[in-house]
Amino acid sequence: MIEELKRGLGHISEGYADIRYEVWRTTSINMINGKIEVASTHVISGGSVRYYHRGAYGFSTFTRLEDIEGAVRSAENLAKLLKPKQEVVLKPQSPVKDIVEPKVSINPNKITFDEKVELVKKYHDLLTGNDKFVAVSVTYGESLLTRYFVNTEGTEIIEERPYCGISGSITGRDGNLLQRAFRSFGDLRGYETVLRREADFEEIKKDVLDLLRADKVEGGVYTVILDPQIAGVFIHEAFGHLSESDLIFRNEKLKEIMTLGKDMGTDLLSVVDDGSLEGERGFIAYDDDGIKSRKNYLIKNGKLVGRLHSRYTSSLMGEEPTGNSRAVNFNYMPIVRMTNTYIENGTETFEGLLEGIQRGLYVLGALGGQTELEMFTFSSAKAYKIENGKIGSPVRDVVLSGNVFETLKNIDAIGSDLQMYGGLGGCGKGAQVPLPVSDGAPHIRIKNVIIGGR
Amino acid sequence: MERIVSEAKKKELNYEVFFTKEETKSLNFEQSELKDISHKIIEGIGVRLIHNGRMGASSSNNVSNLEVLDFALNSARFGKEVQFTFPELPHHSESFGDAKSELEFEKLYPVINEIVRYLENKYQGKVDLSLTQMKLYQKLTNYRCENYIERNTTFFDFGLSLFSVTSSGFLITYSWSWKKSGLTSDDLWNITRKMEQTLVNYDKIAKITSGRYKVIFSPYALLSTLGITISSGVNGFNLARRMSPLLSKLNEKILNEKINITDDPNLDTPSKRGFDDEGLRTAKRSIIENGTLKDYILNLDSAAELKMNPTGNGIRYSFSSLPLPGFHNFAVQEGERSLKDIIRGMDNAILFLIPIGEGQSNIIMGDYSLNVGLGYYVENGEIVGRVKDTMISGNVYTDFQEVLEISKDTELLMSRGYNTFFNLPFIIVDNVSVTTK
Repeated sequence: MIEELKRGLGHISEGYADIRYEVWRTTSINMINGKIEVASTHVISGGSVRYYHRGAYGFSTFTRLEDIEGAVRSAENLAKLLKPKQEVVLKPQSPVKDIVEPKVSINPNKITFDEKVELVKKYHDLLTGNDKFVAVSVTYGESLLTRYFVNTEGTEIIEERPYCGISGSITGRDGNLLQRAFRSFGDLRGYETVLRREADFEEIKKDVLDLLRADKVEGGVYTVILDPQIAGVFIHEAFGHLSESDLIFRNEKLKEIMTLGKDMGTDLLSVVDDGSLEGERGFIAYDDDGIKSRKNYLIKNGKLVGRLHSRYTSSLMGEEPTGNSRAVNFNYMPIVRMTNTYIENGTETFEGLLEGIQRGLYVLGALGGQTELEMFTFSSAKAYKIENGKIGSPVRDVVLSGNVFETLKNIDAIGSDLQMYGGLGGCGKGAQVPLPVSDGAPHIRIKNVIIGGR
Repeated sequence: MERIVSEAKKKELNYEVFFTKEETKSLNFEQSELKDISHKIIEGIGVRLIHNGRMGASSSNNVSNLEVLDFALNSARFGKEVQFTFPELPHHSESFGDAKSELEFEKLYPVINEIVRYLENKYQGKVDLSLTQMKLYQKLTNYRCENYIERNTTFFDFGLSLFSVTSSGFLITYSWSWKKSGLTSDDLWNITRKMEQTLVNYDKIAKITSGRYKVIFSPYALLSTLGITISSGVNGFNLARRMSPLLSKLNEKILNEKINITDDPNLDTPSKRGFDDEGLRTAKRSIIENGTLKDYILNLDSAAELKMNPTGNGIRYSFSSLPLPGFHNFAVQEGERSLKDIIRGMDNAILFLIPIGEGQSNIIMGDYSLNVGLGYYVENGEIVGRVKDTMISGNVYTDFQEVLEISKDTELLMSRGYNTFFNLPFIIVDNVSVTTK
């Protein structure tokens, strides 16, 4: 395959070009209320060519290998069609030759389709058995990706990424009230990830019953303790996206706000994006520019120390590429994205975090989040009131919101129980969703968070 | 595709084969500078089989890959029992848009640069934009006949967003529109002017306190509230799985009587369809009439489960996804007065233009809790400044009982790719909960 891709680039005598070719074999099994809704295997393969000329890319996709040369010519013609105002020279990189094989205990492709169906049925049955549960759903998802990358600098990479995961959800009804609880587990550790999840699935039953008896949260400004999962979503949404330098690189005012060395929060706070964390959902050995992934500090001891780059943005800003140029698949141009993003451990105990909170919320699990740079929102799967330093009754529909710069400064305590979360979903940016990422944190405490409510 | 159909026939399978080819050309700007010009072709086939009374499915982007039939047969070993058959198809061909029209990048490039410079100078911000030409071909057949249903869709769109650091904080606004034939310089400027209408007194902050306010939901804010709650509530997938609160609520009043919602497959958008993606004839249907729930959105599978008639709403969101129930064009009937006239007559209200955080509450139950990305406070008929650090929350089924007025102005928004369009007005709702610092 690599030789065929290299032949495609053969006629290019000047400028930079690369080809990504990907083979995806995906399996989905979904059971809802005792019926298998989906049990299917899909095979998708294809590639794309980028040709870089003076500051802009020409991009062209192909499905059949015999069409590579046509796609290379098309990308070259598109790149040369128009002239950008600013010429940017991509900083040259040393060529890399590597074959990355997955380090998994059990490769999902060694397990039969029938066994996977049986697993889904087993977890599904575990979730049933309560009259209040009107819809029970379990999904197994698997994407076995083999990707090939070559460029005109001589880089040749083959990388396999066997994603696999499982999720379960229950919709519960009590009178007119419907509530949904779910959990999702997925990463690059192999089939082990979906085994022995019985205790986790039992938690979904507990969560939905808690939600059915929970009161709607009262809107207001609260001190909150975030559990490691929602704290991970917070750092991803509120700060991670702001670190993606394709949002910064030409905006002088934003560059000034994001000047390296600036105080972003308490000196307890350190934030990292690390694509090289093997086994995590956002693990990549190389990004889609062919750059090796690495650990990048974004905030260290409260100070802004780094940001995420592609080759293009790093060349423009005179910084080093960080291995964060990623596309959801070969049909898309890579853009600057996160990988595995987390807050490093602090020293506080959970009891220490609770201490002194008169009126607060303990917020757990995440339904999702969205950011528009300065402002963000994210929502919790469940939450409990905190009254006089003690955890009280459950509340529901807790959606948190704030201004990122103020909120980072309002983090006043950080626990020491960092955990990472992947799952079957992923991150969205532009039209590219879902990109496999993970995020995590220890428990953290934040003051003055706006909670929407009645 | 023919190879797969002929092999399926040879094996005497009860098959359905759906083929799509999507060709897009686009020019993209990032931070006020040309980023790329792209040409993409995505094609593939989706196969469904009813085998021994069970459903099997698979897909591939190699359109002559016979393996998909084996995968689909394997899938049918586990698939659920099917209570419907694929319909007999007429021979039908339809087209939308001007297939001969092409985007002229070289001609439009100077205009785009002019727009970018204009916005940069006026608002001290950076502009992202994309100009896209989409040509889509879809073809459906099944074992019941030799006929094909074919659809050619061509459209052109232009979307732009402005990001600026202002004295009222970060400012992000956007605008989008489309046409059936190639876009002209005037079209691009009109879309730019439309975006500028969202920028009034944007550099001032209006201080408000938490409480209950009249809120003017823009088409974007409406999509994130009424739009997703109703479209998921009447969706057969959720109804058949008892996940919707609208099950057994037909002919009950669920919203204010001023609200009328239709699904209109004849509306002149790229979602205009004579037949759905399962081969059933589509028809305009009244979903909410004077606040009363009149109909559901069903595909073959959900209709069979609910023991109702399918409504011609089976949509394949890509060749690899199964047909799901979905609106073609979700349209809320407009009112009589323009937004300008309505605002002029208001003592105070919040004009909620751009929400952040769609879909993070229990939306199917109607709950919403949205951050105001861009919104203004209206006082004595005037927009006085931006509302910031504010959440607007509530429940669609209770809040949209208190509708004061619906505007004559509407905006067409695209959702889930080109498969569903929403034609939405501004709706003014009384007594909405607003939380702020």
